[in-house]
Amino acid sequence: MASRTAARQPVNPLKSFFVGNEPMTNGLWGMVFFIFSEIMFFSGLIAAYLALREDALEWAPLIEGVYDHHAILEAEFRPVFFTILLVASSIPMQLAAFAIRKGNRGGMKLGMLVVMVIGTAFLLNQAVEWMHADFAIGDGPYSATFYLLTGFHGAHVLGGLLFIAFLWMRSYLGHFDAHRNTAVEAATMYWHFVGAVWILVFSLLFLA
Amino acid sequence: MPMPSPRRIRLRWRIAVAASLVTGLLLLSAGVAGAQAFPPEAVSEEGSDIRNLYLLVFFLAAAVFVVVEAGIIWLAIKYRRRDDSLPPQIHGHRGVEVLWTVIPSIIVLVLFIVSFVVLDHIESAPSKYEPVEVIDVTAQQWAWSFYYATPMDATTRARISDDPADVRLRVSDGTLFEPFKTYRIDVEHIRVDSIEGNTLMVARGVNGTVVQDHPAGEEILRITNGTEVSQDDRGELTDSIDPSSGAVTTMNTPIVTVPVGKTVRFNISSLDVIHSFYAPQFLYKLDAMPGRTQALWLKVTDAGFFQGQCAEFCGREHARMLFSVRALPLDEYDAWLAALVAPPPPAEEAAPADDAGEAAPEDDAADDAGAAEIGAETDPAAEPGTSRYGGPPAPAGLPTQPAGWTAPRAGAL
Amino acid sequence: MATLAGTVPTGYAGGRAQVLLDWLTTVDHKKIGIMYVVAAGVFGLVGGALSLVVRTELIETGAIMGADTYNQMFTMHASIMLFLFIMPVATGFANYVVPLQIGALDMAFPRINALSLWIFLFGGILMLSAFAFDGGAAAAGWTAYPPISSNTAGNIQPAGVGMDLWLVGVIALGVASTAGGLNFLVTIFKMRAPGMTMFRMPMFTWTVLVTAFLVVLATPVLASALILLFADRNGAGGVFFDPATGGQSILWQNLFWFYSHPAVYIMILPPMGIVSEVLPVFSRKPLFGYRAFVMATVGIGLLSFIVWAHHMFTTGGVFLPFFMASTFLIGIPTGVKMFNWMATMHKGSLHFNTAMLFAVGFVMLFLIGGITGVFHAAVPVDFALHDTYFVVGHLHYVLATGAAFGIFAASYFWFPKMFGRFLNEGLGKIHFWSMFIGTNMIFWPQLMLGLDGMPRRINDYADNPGWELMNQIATVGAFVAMVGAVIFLFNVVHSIYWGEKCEEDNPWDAGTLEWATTSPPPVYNFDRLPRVRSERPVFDERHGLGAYASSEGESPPQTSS
Ligand SMILES: [Cu+2]
Ligand SMILES: [Cu+2]
Repeated sequence: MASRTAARQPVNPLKSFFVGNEPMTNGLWGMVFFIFSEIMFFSGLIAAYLALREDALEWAPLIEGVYDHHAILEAEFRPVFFTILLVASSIPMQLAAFAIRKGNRGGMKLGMLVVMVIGTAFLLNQAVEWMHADFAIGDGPYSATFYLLTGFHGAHVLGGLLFIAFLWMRSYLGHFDAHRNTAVEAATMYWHFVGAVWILVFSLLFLA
Repeated sequence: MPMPSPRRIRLRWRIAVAASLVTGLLLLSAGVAGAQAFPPEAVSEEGSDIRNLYLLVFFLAAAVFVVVEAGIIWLAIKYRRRDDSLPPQIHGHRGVEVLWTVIPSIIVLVLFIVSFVVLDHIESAPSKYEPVEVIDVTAQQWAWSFYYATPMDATTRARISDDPADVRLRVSDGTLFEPFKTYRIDVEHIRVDSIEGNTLMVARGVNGTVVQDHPAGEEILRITNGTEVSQDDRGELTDSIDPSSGAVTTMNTPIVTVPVGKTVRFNISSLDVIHSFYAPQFLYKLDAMPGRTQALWLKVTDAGFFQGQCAEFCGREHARMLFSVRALPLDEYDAWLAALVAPPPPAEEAAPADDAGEAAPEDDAADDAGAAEIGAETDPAAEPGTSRYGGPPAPAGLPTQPAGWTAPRAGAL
Repeated sequence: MATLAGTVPTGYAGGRAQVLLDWLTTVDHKKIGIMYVVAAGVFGLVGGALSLVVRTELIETGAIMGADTYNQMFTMHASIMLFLFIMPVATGFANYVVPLQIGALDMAFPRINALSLWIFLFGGILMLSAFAFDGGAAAAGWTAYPPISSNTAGNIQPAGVGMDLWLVGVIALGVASTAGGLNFLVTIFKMRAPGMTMFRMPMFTWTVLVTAFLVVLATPVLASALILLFADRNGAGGVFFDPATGGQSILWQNLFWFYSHPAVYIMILPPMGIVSEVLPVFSRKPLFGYRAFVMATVGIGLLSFIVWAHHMFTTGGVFLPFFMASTFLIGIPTGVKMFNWMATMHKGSLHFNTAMLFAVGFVMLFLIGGITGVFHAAVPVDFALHDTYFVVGHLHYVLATGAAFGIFAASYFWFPKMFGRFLNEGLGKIHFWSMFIGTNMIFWPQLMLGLDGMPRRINDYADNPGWELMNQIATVGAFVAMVGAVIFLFNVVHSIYWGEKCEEDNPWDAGTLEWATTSPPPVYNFDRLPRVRSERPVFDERHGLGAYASSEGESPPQTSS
């Protein structure tokens, strides 16, 4: 009995996941589960949006009962451009992670810098979007979900930017190398998530 | 047999005390339960079905309860620690584990099937040829209003298109109708959604089941179950609410009158927050959701007075949001309803801005009292909380053909 | 064995200020666990006091305090008991015990762990602070159904900031428990000692693992709903949940119950795990059907995501057959657990100290909670019983005699490990019996009142035959139970300083790894670990079983494939 169980020394299933050549660290697993919870959070908001939309006679109604189709933002050049920009910024972020896996801290810094510039530009554009939107949050379900979805997404972008900026500054203290780079990998995962959520939010608010 | 040690005797005493405490408590509660282990006797067909299902669940549950509790008490006494020896280290037993997975599965499956059958039965609408009563139940903080569909006689029926898709009706005089009220011709019910001049937007259906969707009108917020509820549909209060403080000053209990032996469709809706239409002896409740109208079907079997109460927490006066159900034998009910909707004396005829209960003669378009009052306070038959629709009483209120309404296809106007 | 006394509030070399600072800045999972339990216990006392207010109002027909006060009382009683007592106290025990049970040095993220604690305290205080403001605390029920909760006008409750504070408080609590859940997931998946496979984990750790999944996946949905409701009240003007302005009140219910049904299991699974630790130990047997028990726990966790609408059967907005079926299915794994507990006692050597009494009490009374749940699962019966006192009785048999009894069992069971002293057994027995008798006096009459049609959440009731008597029995029972709670409080405070000393590592002859270290454990938790070859390594070692069975021959501990 004892010898049989001992011979079958089981492997922790989670220890067989790798990022690059390294097994995933606690921090990375934490980020994975955190992203699960974030997905559920945005699912809640998006479910509310879809339920209201499904139920509306015409989209998007204003409270007064006047259906003003101009209340829906159109996918004009600027929002599309910044969407592509944000999603594309996953590439330099991933390149930064690749660089640090090889111990190339300079490459990592460069990638992060590009991401920070793009992210800041995206946030500025969101601010412009908010100022251009000629509706208030309480005008109807579209405007309310618009401000909440873009607002919470923007907060996530901002959080990601602060996270990356923090790592970027730490790298000047000599942190991160080919083996100790959990935070960079985690930030990369998070940034991909932020981009993916934006694709969904953008398609719901601007395209559908 | 050796004398047990004093310690052992003390232990036995304790066990006896504990066991009798537990069993005594359970017996006591069961005894106190006595008459109240069951819901009240049902006074409706659906309630009887539900009560029978309850009994099935109850006796299954009671059997499980007795067996398991007795088992636990038996285990606790039988296997109490006697010495320091290690009992057999049993880790499990495939057979019994399968057994006690299968047994609950079977119980659960049986319960599901029976519950499903009962659910299907009580929720299904009656045949479309069976005449039903339609009563609109409107809840609000903190009052109930009950409206009865205004019956029209058979001569009117011939002028109604059989096509339920016809929802735009032209009438000779739109002012005879009131929005959001229901009119009844045999098994067909017509709910007026909006009135533009002499054109009515209506929802039609048999047995109170409104089948037709409508394009949105401005004041219409929502279509659910094909029935619109307007933001303006703040029906007349039957309860006195102090407008300044919002407090209910008099707590009268509205009465909803229902026939015995005839299916009733309650169209339940709310004007503000969520309430719940609940009479314990119906063993049935349905939430009054703001912004939608939902149907509860009942066939009352017993005449009498029954309590009812809002069951969903709805704010300050939730505890006092009561109503009563008065179930009358069918003939008495018909007489009561006839009196309720009876036209007032002809002296008031043709007077503009008159009471809604007035009998408007055919083709008389003079009456411009668009917002007719509810006849509750003028009607001797009306109890507090019992309102009825104003508007044109049958059959005179409906114009004749061809001056009466025709039913063009939707959108034709 | 000398201990580091890391968790005993006496014997520090430094001054009181140093001790305080140590506790406030600690990242040690044991101290954090104790702080969780203590804070939750204090909140629990407040919640219990509110329940006495509720019961006092119902002692006779006719309103005593008026609906405005009463509505705050039952709302905050429920909110406190669920969000500030049961959940965090279970989190506290999990914090203390789980790293020990899996042979880890600490949680995976100790600083996030501390952060969770402080956010939890912040949220709790925020929620309670509403009592200090005009208009008082939230009064819309803990379910906070809009449009009542979304309404900000004065003539409809609740006016004032109480509701907003409630919303922000619950959001903070949600953040805290989500962070805690992430921490437990990584800790349990990644920090286990060598040899501690998933199927050798103690049952309490298993229930915490499943609970952590529920927390991480369900709580964010609640957070989104709370944010929408907050927006509705502050600027969005009810576009989400108030039908008068185009919203859907049913949407809130769907989002809310998508969290709050799993939340029921978040509250009941850890106590089930506790009972599954305590029953075997004091029966001196392994848990019967360990694997089946794990499967049942996982099954309940999975099912919990597809049953939420059984709270909405009477709304008319639910596809009834599906949710009826899924809800019935819950009965199967729950039944398996009941039988496994009984089989664990069977042929055992049962020692009835207070921990065991509470564990057996849990099994006996949780059964009632489970059975009454079946009534609600049958949709037509639920039409009759929904929103009556039958629901109140049912949920309290699950939470107050279920979850709370499990928590009390855990207190008596792990107290010597935490503080190196035993809780007083004599007081414990009084505590148990007053709880057992008191809770049954409260909740059994409530079941009957519900059958008779008394709606819940009313501050006054009709003078129907028997109703007043039932309510009076319940009120007396509430005070009896509260006496037990006060005795327990005294017992805890007294025993921390003057209780009987626990010199042993393993006073109960238990099997899991927390008993392989000193009582209380050193800061770094373990000096040595036994070989883990079953779910009871310590028991195996002491009794020469499993890996230690001499007849089987020694197998080298580090063997790996
Ligand atoms: Cu109510
Ligand atoms: Cu539930």
